[in-house]
Amino acid sequence: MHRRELLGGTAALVLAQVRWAAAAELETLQSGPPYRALPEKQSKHGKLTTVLNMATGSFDVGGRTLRLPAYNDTMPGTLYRLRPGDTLKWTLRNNMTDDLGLPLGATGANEAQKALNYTNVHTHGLQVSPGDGSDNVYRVIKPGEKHTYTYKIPGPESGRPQPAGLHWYHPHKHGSTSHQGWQGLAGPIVIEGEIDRVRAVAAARERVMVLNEILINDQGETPTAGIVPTAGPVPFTSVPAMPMDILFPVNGVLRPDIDVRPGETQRWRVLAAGPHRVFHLKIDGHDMWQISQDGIPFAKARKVSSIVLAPGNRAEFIIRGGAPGRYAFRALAFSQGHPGGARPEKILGTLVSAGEPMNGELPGDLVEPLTIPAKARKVVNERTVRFSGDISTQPVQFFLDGKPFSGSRIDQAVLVGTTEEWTLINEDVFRHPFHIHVNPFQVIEINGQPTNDDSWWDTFMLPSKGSAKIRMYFRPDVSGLTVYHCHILPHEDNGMMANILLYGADLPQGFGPEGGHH
Amino acid sequence: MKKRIFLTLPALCFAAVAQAQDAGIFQYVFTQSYKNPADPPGRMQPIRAGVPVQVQLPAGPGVWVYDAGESSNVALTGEGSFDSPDRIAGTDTIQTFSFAVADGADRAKIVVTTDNLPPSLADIVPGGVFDLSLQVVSP
Ligand SMILES: [Cu+2]
Repeated sequence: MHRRELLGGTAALVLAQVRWAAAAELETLQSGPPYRALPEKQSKHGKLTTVLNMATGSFDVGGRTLRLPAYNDTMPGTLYRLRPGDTLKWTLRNNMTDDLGLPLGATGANEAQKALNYTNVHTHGLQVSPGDGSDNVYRVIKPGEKHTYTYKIPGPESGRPQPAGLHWYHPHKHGSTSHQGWQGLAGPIVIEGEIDRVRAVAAARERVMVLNEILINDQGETPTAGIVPTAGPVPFTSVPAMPMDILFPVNGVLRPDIDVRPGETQRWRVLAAGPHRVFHLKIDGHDMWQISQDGIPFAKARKVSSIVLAPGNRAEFIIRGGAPGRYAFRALAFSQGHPGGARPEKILGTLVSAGEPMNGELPGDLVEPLTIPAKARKVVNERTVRFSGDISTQPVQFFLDGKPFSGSRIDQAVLVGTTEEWTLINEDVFRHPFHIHVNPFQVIEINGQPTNDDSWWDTFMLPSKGSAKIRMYFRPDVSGLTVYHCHILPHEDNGMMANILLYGADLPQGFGPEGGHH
Repeated sequence: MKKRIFLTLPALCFAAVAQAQDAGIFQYVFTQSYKNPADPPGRMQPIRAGVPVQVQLPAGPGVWVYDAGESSNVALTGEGSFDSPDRIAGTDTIQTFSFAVADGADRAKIVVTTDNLPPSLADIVPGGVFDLSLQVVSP
């Protein structure tokens, strides 16, 4: 945010103090709380069966006590480790109560407020069936209810195993997705595979980091109210208004110290789980050797000085500890189209280099990259999706192709086993991140210019008032009805989502290109 | 387009608030979207005593002006603006007004007006009058 002030007389001193306070936020702490690794569970003999118990807990974040719902009493959620071919089965229990985040003077939750506690769960990045009993995001689980999900993660026998890397889970009930995102409900899923056997990767110390974006009121609870954008240090207010703040903890800890030995290599797997903030990540004095994007490994490591993660994105990279000292881990200021200018820089943590020096190996060649099968490379269809919005109202309104989301409409029908190119046209200043369930995509053009980049994404942030052309191969063995949407979750909840029918031989009568369903 | 903070005596107080803000202290923020054409006139918003209040409204070229005569039990402690082009049709700035509610008051009213309202806001802030009725609750 750029605030230009005209100073007069004694006030300059006061303004100087303001600047000092702002600057202090951007300096590394002399010491921070210790880094926290998340609790984890690993599949055994091809299975992982568990419970996701969603209930309110108390969490100390940056010296404040927050009352937030969490999965199994850990914020963010447990790390689940699986392999391609495994079956993940969990029962989601919604044990939420209706007493959190109510406006001052409210005597209880009204129906709209109660609905903010309706939930479900989505396995973001897993190429699994979107059908009922699997990754069905249309399912609604109300407080007191439970639902069991079983996900068959594609293995080698499918000919297209699940890519190995960092994926994640989070609530996806339309209308409450962002509210539950502001509450920090999210957790990592790591798929293990060939990339983990690359020597320089295997030798690096692993850290799985979930970056949350917690929106709280003065009671330490996420407002159960309409959320609207504002300018200034806190990017949202509520209707009715509540005083609020926004926090960016790493694995639930505000500005932790992350230890490294000089010359030690570490593999950071970082998830942007916030509903809104784009994290432009940088570690002072350290390059990053990126090995994967959105959980899909590269052929070769790429040395970069910073990485941009839009909400929903993941990146994995190797760092090598520098000379002994303290180095800020930053989210640089970023213009994402929010009113009032760039979102301000934040220090997420501090990399603390100390101890016996090591000589860690940096990665080079990695794995055989993911490609579209040769027989399916012909682009059989092209489509266009337009992104637009209006933020003057409460609720704000966002549209795909001029329409708000409706659960009773099929917006696109795609024949599985084929390749298509979609042009995503952003008519908005806001840099909407496009996300589609089940199948990842490559970005082949940005604003009409070829990218010459073979990375795969499941979430890609569009340029402001511009376009991106993507190429998608729809895996033949997953069909059903699912969604594509903006991963700024308040945009999704306020309309920026649409339905896609992935159809194969099981296509119902009347659907498909012949039936005119485009 | 205005780009300034009025530095009168209360500005000292505002600066203290701004400093606290950067450190993450809480304030109430109201924007145009607080207004809903379906609301009953004079809808009362409860706020806790002692917490600063800020009004943010889309401006440029239109200018919003604090109407001290129509407001009650509040002191304007500062004004400011943020560049915000291409966000709300017909505006390129967000103008801010910061207030302290008078000690001991149980009601307060804030009125901010413009005589150059863009058509995109005609239904939301009819007549270019943004008025806010506050009910002050002891903390
Ligand atoms: Cu968006």
